Amino acid sequence: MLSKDFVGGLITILLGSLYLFFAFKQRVSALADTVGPAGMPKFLGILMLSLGVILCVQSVVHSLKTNAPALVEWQGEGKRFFRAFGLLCLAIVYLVLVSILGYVLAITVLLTLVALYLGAQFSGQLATIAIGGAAILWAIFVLLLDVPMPSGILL
Amino acid sequence: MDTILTLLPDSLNFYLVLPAILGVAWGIIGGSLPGISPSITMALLLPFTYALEPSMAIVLLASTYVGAEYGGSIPAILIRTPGTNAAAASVLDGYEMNLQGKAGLALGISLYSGVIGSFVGLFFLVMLSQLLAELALAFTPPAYFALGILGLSVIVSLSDQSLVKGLIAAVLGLMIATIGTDPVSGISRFTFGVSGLLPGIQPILIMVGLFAMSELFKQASILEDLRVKTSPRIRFPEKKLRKRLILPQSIGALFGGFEGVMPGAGGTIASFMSYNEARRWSKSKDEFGKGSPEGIAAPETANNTVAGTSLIPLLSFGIPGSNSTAILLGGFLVHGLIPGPMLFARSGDVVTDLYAGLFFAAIALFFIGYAIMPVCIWLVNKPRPYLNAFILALIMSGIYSINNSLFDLSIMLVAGVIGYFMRVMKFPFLPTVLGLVLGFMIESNFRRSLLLSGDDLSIFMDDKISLMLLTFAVIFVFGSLAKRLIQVLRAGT
Repeated sequence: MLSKDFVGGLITILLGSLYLFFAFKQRVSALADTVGPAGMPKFLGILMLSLGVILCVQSVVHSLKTNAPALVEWQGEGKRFFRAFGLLCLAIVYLVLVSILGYVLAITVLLTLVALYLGAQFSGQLATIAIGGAAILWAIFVLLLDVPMPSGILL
Repeated sequence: MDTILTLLPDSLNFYLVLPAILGVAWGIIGGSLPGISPSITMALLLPFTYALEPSMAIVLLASTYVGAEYGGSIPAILIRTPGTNAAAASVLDGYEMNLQGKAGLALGISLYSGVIGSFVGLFFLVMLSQLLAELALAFTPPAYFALGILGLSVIVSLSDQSLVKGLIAAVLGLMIATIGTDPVSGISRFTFGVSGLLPGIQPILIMVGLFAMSELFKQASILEDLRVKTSPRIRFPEKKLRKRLILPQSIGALFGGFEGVMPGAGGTIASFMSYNEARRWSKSKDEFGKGSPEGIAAPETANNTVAGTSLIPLLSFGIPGSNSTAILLGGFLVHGLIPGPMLFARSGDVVTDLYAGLFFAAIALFFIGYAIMPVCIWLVNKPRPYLNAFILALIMSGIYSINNSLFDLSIMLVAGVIGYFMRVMKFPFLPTVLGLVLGFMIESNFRRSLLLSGDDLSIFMDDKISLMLLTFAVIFVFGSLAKRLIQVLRAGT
C-alpha cells in the first residue's frame, strides 16, 4: 500500500493543498486584470491536488493488481536517507560557520568534514587536499573572479 | 551558406577560443567521472559564467556539453561504467575491446567519431536554426503563450515511466515560477514577507540544486570504489578501419541529427538506435557485442551530433529538450538573453559566436581529448570522498558568488533536498525546469493577450502563429499518448 508512488501522491496532495490555501489568501490589487495574481496559482493548486489523487489511485490499483509488497521498494532507503541528511547537515554547518570563521577557514572545515563523512581517513592526504582545495577555491573566487567572500570575525 | 561565411571572422577571435578549449576540457573531465552527467558538469560551471561576457559564457557551457558527451565514453570503455547515459551503448563493444587489450584503439575510435559527430551537429544547427529564425519578428503575446504551451507539451514525451509524475514535476516548476512579484499587477506572491523572494527564485539556484546537489546527496549514500586498472594511450584508427567506420558514423550522424531536434529524445535514444541500425547494416554483425569498432563509432557519433542538434529547439523556440540544454538555457537567462524567436533578432551576435565557439570546440575536442586522458584516469582513480567534498565546496562557493548571498545557498540546498526526494520517488527533473523557465512566459503572455483582446479567448485562434503552435502542441501530446498506448497494448499481448 505505502509504495513510493503512493507516498509521492500523498506529498503532492499536501503540497497542492498548502499552495491552494495560500493562493486563496492571495491579496488582489484593484488594478489587477480579470485573471489576477491569484488566477494561475489557484489553477496550479487544483491541478497539483488532482494529480496527487490520480497518482495515489494509480498506485493503489497497481498494488492490488500485482499484489507486490510495497515495502520491498523502501529496502535500505532509510539508511541512505540518513546518510544524505548527514551531508545536508554538514552543508548547513558550513552556512553557519562561514559568517563566523570566514570563507577560507569554513571551506577548509567543509572539505575536511565532508571527506571524512564520505569515508576518507585522517591522514596527511586529507589535510593536503582540504588545505590545497581551499587554496584553489580561494584563488579562483577571490583572486580571479574578485568575489567578496565572507571574511568572518577574523578580519 | 551566408551564415557559415559569417562564422569565419568570428572563428579567428581569441576570446571565443579560450572558453571553447576550457569548456571541452572541463566537459571531458566531468563526463569521465561516473555519476557526473553532462548537465551536472555544466551546472557546476554556471556560477562562473556570471563574470564572463555573454558570448564567452554560452560558448563555455555549450563546449562543456560537447566535451562531456565524449568524456562519458572513457569510463564506459575502461571500467564498464558509462560516465553519461548516452555512453551506455559504448559499453557493449568498448569494454570488450578493452578486455582484448585494445582500449587505446576503442578510445581513439570514440574520440574520432565524437569529433565527426560534433561537426555534423554544428552543420545541422547552423542550417536549421537559421531557417526557424525567420519567424522571429512575427511573434505576438498570444504566440509567446502558445510557444510556452508547446514547450510544456514536451513533458508528455519526457515522462518515460509515468505521465502523471511528469506532470506533477512540471506543475512544481510552474509553482516555483509564481514565487515573487506578479508579472502584471506587481503584487508579491508566496513571499511570506521574505524580501529575498521578491524578485523571484533564479532558475540557476533550482537547476544546481536539482541536478548537482541532489546527486551529491545520492552519492553520499552509495560507497562505490571504481578504479581503472590500465593506463592506455589513445590510438586513432588506421585508413582501412576509418573506411569501415564511415557507414556506422553516417548512421550515427543521421540518428543524432534527427533525435537531437526531437525534444525529449536526446543522446541516449540516438546512441542505442544508431547502434542497432549500425549492426543491422554491418557486414560483420556477429562482431557486435564482442568488441566491434563499428559498435563504438555509431553511438559516439550520434551522441556528439545530438550535442549540436539539441540546441536547435532551444535556440529557435526557447524549449530545452534535455537536461543539458536546460542548463544552457540557464546560462542564457543569467545574461538576460531569452532563447527563442527573438534571440536571433536581438542578440544575433551571440548566436553567431555560439556557432563559431562550437566550431572551435569540435577542433579542440580532437586535441584535448587526446591530451587529457591521463588526467581523466587520475581523477577516476581518486577516492570518491575527496572528489565529492571538492564538488560540494565548489557548488557552495559558486552559488554564493552569484549574488554574494547566503540566502541563495539556502534556496539551492532546499532545491537539492527536493531533487533528492524526486530521485527517490522517481520523478523526472526536466519537466520541473521546463515549468520553471516557461511559467513566467506562459502566465504573463496569457494575461497580456486577454488584456489586449478584452478577455476574448479567440485571440489565441485568430493569431496565425499561435494557432499553428497550439495545433503542434495538440498533435505532439496526442501523438505521444498514442505511441504510449500502442506500447502498452503491445506489452500486454
